[in-house]
Amino acid sequence: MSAEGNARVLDLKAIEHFKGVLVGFGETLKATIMEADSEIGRAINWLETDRIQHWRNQIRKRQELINIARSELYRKQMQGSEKDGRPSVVDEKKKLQQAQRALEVAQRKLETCKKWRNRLEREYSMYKGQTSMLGTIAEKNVPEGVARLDRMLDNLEQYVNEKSGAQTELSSLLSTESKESIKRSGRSQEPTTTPSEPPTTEAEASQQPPESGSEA
Amino acid sequence: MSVSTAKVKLTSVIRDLRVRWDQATDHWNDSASAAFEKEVITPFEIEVRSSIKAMETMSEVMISLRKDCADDHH
Repeated sequence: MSAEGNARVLDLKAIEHFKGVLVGFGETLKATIMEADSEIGRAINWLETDRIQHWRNQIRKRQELINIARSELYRKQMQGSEKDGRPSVVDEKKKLQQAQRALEVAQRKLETCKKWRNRLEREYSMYKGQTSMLGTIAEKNVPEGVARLDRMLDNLEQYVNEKSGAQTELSSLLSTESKESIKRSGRSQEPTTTPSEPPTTEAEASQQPPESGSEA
Repeated sequence: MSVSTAKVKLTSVIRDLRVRWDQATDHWNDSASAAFEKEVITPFEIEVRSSIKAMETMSEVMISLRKDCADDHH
């Protein structure tokens, strides 16, 4: 950075190029926010309309399975054995226990899903708060940054053009003066001052143009 | 795209912005570029990093949610 506060821009294309990068950054940011929000939205919907209903249905189905298992056990208990009149009900009891455990799982799952409904709402609210600036960056700050670079580029381009015009004029004056000098002296001689080369952006660096940040 | 993918994309895009900015300052290095970095680039990095953390948390929340509410294959 120049201590005098003058611009030190070696290549205007670097700013122009970075402006494009910044625009792309804003677009990616918007797409990322939208996609992340969309997935969270789908998860909320999945919980609300699918999971809670799913586990309610499962509770109903598993209660029916318990009823069936109880009926089978009862029927078996009522059946007489050929030997001692007491049939084995081990399998039926096992089935009933399994059905009861399955019901308990479904009941716990439903409770968990209901708790998740509140938790997810809380987590999403926190997430929105923590990422809200992303939207502001994408929608407001990036365009502002791009506009700022545009203004700087305009100023620098204007400066380069003005300088280029002035140097052309100077070259022309020097050339005319040289010819007149030759005429006056009446002999051929080379001009004492070589006309300047057209300015390049790199050349601007050493010639201290005005502050690149000075905005119109 | 999942929240997890969004997080990865955000990490990549902010890293890329920094690399491109550093490249730009090889050609543009004065008080205006310093001000631009301070007022634009650095705040972007701070906010995006904070959002990446929030996405990390949200991603873990989503994994737990799916696990807790998934079918039990009964």
